[in-house]
Amino acid sequence: MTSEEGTGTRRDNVVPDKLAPSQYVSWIEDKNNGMEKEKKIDDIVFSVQYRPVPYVICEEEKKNEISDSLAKRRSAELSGMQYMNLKIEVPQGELLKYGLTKNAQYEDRVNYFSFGMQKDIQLVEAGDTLPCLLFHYERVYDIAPYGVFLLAFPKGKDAEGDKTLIFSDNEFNKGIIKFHFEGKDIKKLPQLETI
Amino acid sequence: MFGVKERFGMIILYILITLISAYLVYDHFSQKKKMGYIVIQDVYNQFGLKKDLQKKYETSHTARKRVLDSLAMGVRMIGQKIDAEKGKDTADIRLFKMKRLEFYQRQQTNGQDDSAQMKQYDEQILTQLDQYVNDYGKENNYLYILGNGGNGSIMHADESQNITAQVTQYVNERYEGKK
Repeated sequence: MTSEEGTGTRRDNVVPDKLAPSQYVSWIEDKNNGMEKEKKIDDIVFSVQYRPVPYVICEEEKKNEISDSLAKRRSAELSGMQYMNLKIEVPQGELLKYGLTKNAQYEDRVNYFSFGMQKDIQLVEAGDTLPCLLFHYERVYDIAPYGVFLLAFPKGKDAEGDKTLIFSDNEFNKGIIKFHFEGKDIKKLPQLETI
Repeated sequence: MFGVKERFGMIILYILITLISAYLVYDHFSQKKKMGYIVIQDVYNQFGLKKDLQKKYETSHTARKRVLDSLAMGVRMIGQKIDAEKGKDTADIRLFKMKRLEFYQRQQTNGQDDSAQMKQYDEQILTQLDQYVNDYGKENNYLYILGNGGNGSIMHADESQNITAQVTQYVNERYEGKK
């Protein structure tokens, strides 16, 4: 079977060589391609999206044509780190208010999500534990029942090897949650088509 | 034109075909459900999250104990000094009582912190174990997975229904994010 170049979907382990920006984003976000991992524990869904540098560029530019010079310049600027998003989704309501019984807990949770949670996230790669160096909480208030945390880690000894993101969830008390990404999937990423 | 006998035969044939088709559809969709049991203690003790949290607890507990031991040593030293002075320095006696009170308060706090941390970790372990065992049951078509806690809850079960090893492997793969 051949890959469906129109959608950029991988079938039977055939990875397309190059994809236009919109197809590249869809490919990376397709759970079947191993760049997004999800875990449902009890009532809460935790998911992690691995964001290769070309994906970050596509999100920044939001265009289906990206010039080669811009892609190369931004790649050089972004290449020192590795990027992921952690999403926490609750069944209903606002993430910040979910499960709270007192008003005072709300401010504590805002502070934790904004600042404290960074230390509870690490990336393990090639036996090394890499700290979360860049951390940003994207608040959506009560528009959607989830929150997204933008993460960046330093590059380790084996940037294209197996890696495990470890999140210690003490806020919703689900414990240590691990998301494993296979090096073989990272090595076989398609390239971004530029003009 | 069909005669009476031919028509009767065709009706019987139609009924047979309908019955056979209905049975095949039922058999296909009925998905025979299984039953199995696990030795809960074995799954719990071999669960990766339990091992990781145990290490975290021991690190915290050791740190708390270190502070308490340091306070205890301080109290002992002041006590020895008071004995040597034969209780003449009232300032030392006041300090001894203050340090001793601090020690007892810290000992109580440590006990509460140890209990609270163990309780929190137990809840986290059971939450994830429940989820993963439930998922195993759904993915592998189990009607029931019973837990043998060794307290007589399962009086007898054939060893062939013991799925402890399979469930242990599955829950650990799920915990490590590999499944």
